[in-house]
Amino acid sequence: MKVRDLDCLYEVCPIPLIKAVKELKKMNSGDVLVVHSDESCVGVMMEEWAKQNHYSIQIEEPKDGEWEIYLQKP
Amino acid sequence: MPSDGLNDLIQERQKSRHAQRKNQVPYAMILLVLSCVYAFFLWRDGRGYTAFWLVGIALGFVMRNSRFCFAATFRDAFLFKNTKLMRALILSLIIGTLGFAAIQFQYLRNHPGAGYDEIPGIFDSVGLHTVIGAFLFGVGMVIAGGCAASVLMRIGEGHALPLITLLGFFIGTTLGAKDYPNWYGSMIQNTGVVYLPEYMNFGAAVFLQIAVLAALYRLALWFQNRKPEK
Repeated sequence: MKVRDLDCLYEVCPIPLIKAVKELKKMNSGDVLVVHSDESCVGVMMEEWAKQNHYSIQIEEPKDGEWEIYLQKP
Repeated sequence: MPSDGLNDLIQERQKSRHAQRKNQVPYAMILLVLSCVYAFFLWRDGRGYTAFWLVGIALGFVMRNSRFCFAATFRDAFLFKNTKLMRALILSLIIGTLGFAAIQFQYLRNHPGAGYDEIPGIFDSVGLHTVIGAFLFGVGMVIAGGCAASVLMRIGEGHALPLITLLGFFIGTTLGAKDYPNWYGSMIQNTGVVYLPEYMNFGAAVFLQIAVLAALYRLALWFQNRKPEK
């Protein structure tokens, strides 16, 4: 299981999800992508996208207004 | 369900980090008291403004929590094949159609032969200017990262970037107001208003509009659930 971080701080919607989709295409099954974002909508958007595409997803908020979205490729 | 590997990774990362979250309840309390004081002053000056103030706060709350974003409504369908917000918009148009149908039907029964200026609701002409305006607005909306609603919501959330977008809004609306007479003279006044009840029975017009919106809803649902092409 490889882990890759994707820094999307200060990026506006929908760029974090576009970047994440692009990055996930290059990764293998079981790998984890951690998206860092400071937009509240990004997590909700990614949750829907993950459900649609059968990805495992977990969202953490380590700092106020800063989210880490863990996406695992099926 | 996330696998064990994913959970382990998250736990390990959270462990190495100190708690960096502040308690924000005191700030919320201060804001609540301030907005109540403001509402009181508005109540003294004129009752209507208090209602605007409260409805505005409620709308902001709903916008924030429902993540209703007009930019995403049209963008996500094309980018991510997600039509959830688009369907929500269609649904709100259906509800709006029913509500306005009731209001306008009532009005037209009491005032037969009323003009566009008198019937409740806004009647705008449709033409090339609608297409040009929609295109410009769509490009700007995606570049700016949101429409007016989400820009205002983001400012409330504490982002600084939308403040620049808001500045652009001020410039844009001022320029728009300045150039409107030009647009009106060259294009808008030559186009007509389409009001369906003029061409058919009022009930039939309402039914037709809802039928078209329902068909669009089904189309959006089909688009989202379509099997991906491989």
